[in-house]
Amino acid sequence: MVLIACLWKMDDLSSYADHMVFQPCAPFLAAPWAAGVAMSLSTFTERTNNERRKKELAAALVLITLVLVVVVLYPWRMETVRLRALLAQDCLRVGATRVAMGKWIEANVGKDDAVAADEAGAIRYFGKRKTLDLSGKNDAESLADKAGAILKAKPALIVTARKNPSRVSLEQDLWSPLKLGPGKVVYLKPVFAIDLDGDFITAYKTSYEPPRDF
Amino acid sequence: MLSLWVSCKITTMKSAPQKAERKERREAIFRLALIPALAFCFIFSSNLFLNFQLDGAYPAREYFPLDASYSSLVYASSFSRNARFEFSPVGSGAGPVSPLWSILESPFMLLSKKTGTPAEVPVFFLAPALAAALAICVYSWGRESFGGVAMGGLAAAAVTLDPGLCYSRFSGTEIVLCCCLLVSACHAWQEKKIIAASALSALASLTRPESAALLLLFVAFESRSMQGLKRRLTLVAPTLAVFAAWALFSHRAAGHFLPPWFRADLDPSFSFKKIYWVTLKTGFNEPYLWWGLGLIFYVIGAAAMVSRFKTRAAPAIVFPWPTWSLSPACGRWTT
Repeated sequence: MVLIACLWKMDDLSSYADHMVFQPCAPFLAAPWAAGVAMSLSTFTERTNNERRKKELAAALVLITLVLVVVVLYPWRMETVRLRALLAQDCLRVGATRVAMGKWIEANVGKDDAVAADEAGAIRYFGKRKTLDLSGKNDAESLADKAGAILKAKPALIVTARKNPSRVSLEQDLWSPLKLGPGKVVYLKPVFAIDLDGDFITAYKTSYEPPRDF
Repeated sequence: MLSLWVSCKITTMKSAPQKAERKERREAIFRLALIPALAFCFIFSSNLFLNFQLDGAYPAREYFPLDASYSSLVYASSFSRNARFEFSPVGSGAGPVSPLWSILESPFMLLSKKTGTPAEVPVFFLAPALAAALAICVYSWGRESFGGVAMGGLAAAAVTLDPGLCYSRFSGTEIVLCCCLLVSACHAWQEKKIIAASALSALASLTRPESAALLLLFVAFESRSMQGLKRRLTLVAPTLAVFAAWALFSHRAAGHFLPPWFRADLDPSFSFKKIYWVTLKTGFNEPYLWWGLGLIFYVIGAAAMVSRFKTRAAPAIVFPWPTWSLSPACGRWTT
């Protein structure tokens, strides 16, 4: 197993999504593991055993158990350190981008206006506005036809997340057309943006007719 | 040979009266030490995760790490207002990923309205409370399954200190609830409490649909007698009702029997082989199984379960392996 571990290079499992798949299985793997450790160690406490050979076997088992437990403690620490940093990073990312955008929407967007966003949970919760989820996870229409859903709901604001901050400039204050299909165009103007280490989330004001200053 | 050693150990422990007396004394000491020890594990691990400073702040105390956590709060808010799962007045419906989790969150939404505190504050404490309940469930199941207070206690400590589950404790998602329900269902089935196992399995399926894999194992390992057939029907009926209701709700709200979040997650570039290896590696990256080293202890523990419960131990042992590898096929890898 150690040989396999050496040969099999550990991947950088940076996402919690991989762990979410595994989590419900964890108690069913951890509990027998812990019981196995306890059973192996309990050999140590049985002192009525007078036969020399059995004593030697018990000592060997305890030694192996302790070595293996110590070996396991190191990755336990490593994984704890990695995941607690990941938790803080993920919380900070969601808080500084999605939650902040939601709060900005609540303060700056009209109460009857609709908003469209590609990850809409925090934006809907904090924004308190009618929200179209463009990912389709919370909206069947967007899943079937994103462009059609936008044209039907006509959101006053579209929020998108990009990895390339250089493509959006609030200072330019320009409208840009977004083609949604043949003859269907929505005009977008960036009005608010948040940049968190390359996670660039932008709110675009929308116009469904060519704007005067276009 | 290993299972022989385990069964020999159990039988000798049972037969010698002196040993039994010593075991009782030892268990009494373990029982006394258990509550402070588990409380320490819980506080220690929570402190590690909550008090991690980043950019001069403690983000884990203020926000949830996933956007999906806030989506479930939106559904909880809707459920508390009009007993309906509605994401937004625009667009068509969808329904939450975990209906039971949103239902559990909904009383906190009402509470927040009355008290004026943000709803995410009481919800923040819900999963840690369930994590404490999970430790109790695992202890109770482990003590019965492995035949000792120490075994149950250590199992509960391992689950409490599990780094992945610690993350889940503060993620505002349904995972800890699902673990509680699955472990309790397994315990109930081992104790031949069929109605409890059936109800808990149905609730687990309402939390995460892939939990139904455990129910299938209960059905597969149930005895083949006429009474066994009756028990099988009792086991599957509530879960089938849950899935039927869910499918009908999806069809009514979104025009499809499968919920939109499920279909949205089905990546067209899906490669089962790739996903299988990613999840397999994630599991083997868990500290207690670290690259297979922990498997030695796992096999000893599993052998102890089999020697006590025979086929009644099988679902708990079999469940992790296909679920671990097959749950990505349910579209869970991009949550």
